[in-house]
Amino acid sequence: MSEYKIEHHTYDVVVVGAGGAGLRATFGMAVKGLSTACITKVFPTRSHTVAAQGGMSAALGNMGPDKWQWHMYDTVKGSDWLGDQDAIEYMCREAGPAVIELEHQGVPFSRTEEGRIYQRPFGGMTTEFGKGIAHRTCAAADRTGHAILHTLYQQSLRHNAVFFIEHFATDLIMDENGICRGVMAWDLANGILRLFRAQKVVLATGGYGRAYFSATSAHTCTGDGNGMVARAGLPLQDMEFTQFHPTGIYGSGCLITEGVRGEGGYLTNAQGERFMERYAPNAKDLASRDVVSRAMTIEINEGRGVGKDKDHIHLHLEHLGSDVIHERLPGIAESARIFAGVDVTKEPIPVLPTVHYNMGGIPTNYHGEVVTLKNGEPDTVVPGLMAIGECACVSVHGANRLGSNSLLDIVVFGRAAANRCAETLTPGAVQQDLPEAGVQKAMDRFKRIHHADGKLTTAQVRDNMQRTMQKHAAVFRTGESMKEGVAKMNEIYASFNDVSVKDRSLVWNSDLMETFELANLLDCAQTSINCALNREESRGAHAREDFPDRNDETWMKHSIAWLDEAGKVAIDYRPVHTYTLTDEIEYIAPKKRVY
Amino acid sequence: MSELSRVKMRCRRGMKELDVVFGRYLQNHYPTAGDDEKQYLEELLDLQDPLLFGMVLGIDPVPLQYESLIVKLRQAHD
Ligand SMILES: Cc1cc2nc3c(=O)[nH]c(=O)nc-3n(C[C@H](O)[C@H](O)[C@H](O)COP(=O)(O)OP(=O)(O)OC[C@H]3O[C@@H](n4cnc5c(N)ncnc54)[C@H](O)[C@@H]3O)c2cc1C
Repeated sequence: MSEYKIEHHTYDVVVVGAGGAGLRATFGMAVKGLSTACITKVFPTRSHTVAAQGGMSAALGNMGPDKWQWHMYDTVKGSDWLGDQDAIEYMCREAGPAVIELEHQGVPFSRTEEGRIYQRPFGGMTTEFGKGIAHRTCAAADRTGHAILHTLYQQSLRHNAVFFIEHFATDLIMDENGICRGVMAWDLANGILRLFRAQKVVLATGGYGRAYFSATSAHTCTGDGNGMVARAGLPLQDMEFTQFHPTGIYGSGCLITEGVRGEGGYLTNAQGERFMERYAPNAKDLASRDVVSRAMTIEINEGRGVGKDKDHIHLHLEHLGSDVIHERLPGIAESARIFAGVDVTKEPIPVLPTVHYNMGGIPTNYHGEVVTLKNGEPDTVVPGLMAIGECACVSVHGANRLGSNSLLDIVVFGRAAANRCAETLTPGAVQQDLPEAGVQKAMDRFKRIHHADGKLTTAQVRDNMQRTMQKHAAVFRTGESMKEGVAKMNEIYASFNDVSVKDRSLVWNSDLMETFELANLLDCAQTSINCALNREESRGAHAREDFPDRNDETWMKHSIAWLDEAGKVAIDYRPVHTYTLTDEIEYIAPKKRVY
Repeated sequence: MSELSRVKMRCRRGMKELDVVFGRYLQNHYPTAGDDEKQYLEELLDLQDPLLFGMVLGIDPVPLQYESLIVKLRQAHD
């Protein structure tokens, strides 16, 4: 007799995750008549997408001329030429229709006086291939993410999608041919283990910011989908690319949105100098995030940081005046007061580059299908499995994501995944039983972690990992420091075997859930730092002091990393897609990336 | 099931800011909170994140009964 109560479920599609990506896919599948379940560990509107305030990019041209081709150029350049150009073309082309569709579904985008969707400038977004500053980012006041979640959740319910809320997915169920056949989830409220059988499992589990000590993302961002994929024997892609947001509040890591610089905010060093003018003469404080984060780090490293320890930078908006601040940037003044103790109408906000976005993740094509390198074929589709949103690596963001391109990514590829399923699946098709070995593997692992009885707490191991990643895999990287980091991470990874779960209950057991999350974070951290050490060049967010230049000859390729059970990383490569989808735009050839 | 464990899970929000605010509150104030305060906490946790955050920031109006709890949440970061 098993100590666990098990229930079985069958759907055409099971989506794991109810952030913007998961909900857009769930809604799309349901509309197309596929029976669809969506599993989520938190209530849908509490997904991390709710934190996105800045907005969503689309070349609508409401505030001046704009074209999807310009948006594509910016995205390719932002990606430092590591993005796949077929996928980038797809995303930028579909951006306009995606925004209009969201508007019709009920997202209340802010408007201009003439009644068109208001668009603001955002870092890295230009017109005419870098010549002007584009107004391309659409927002629903400062609640864009929430508006998207709320709208798509309602739409999904309306079309009879079934939600399993407060359910924690632990593992994919794979068969002996490497086909994904379902997923296992733990019902947090009553301890039931649910075995889902599906023609397609869609992972939409978000990023893994919590692998680092200081991150702008919510505590739920633990890379669970990435961990599930790694355990299924599949590779993760471009895990070395972690974006740092230039303006996390010093101390807490809470984000000050880039919109602040869009509205005229600027950075200064200890001498009161607006140093961005030196690093990016044209774009200045609106240069892309990696450029700004690196400039700030250089200022600090060269002794021009502010504060007692000269270890951060000032962000000014005093000059904007109280009216503009409260009208255009609601919440910023209060946030600065609560999290930094600062009055923004009188003093600058102390800020520091803080982990913000994970470019790497589960490799997919632009339909959302998971791909892997198999028998020399780098675009081999893994049957039964899709990934979308921040957990995926399509790759549209390459080595560096532009602000407001992620909400676009999650909506466009959530929709693409639904369209693909509608084309390739038959509603209600008969499914075979779940493979016994696959189920057993997932059950055994659940049991092992549930009864973990070592000497370390989950919090201790997590803390070790976070500090190591922060120290050895942050904005500036050197081979020497990363080697040290890899050695430490090997030990920390192994120390998970000595973790203990104090509480054996299966009902609302936060300790057990955090232990499952820790396992996933360790997979992300381990692949990330190993790929970072392996990539001997600087590109986008990956900046190495010992290899300061981009090296297209050797390194214009995606890293893919497999993990074995002992935490050993094996690295291989997939080529970057250097072709576009249509002849409406040519391949954008690599150039030096200057702003 | 421990009650604290259930509340902890409900305090996991979509925004880092609220994670920080509730995390510190759980540490500093929850152990000594009375039944009323615990009940108000449950009610607050039912709200949507932007509204909850708006109340913490003082942008959205705070219903009278929640005021003292919100004040504690605001200090929770120190
Ligand atoms: C502070 C902040 C502000 C941002 N602002 C912007 C912005 O203005 N514009 C922009 O374009 N981007 C922005 N971003 C980035 C953007 O918000 C995210 O990349 C995007 O929301 C990710 O969406 P997602 O659907 O992939 O994942 P998420 O929204 O993170 O959702 C993940 C979902 O997966 C579920 N899940 C995870 N693990 C499991 C599991 N094991 N079992 C069951 N369910 C699980 C969760 O419950 C959740 O529903 C911002 C990011 C941050 C940190």
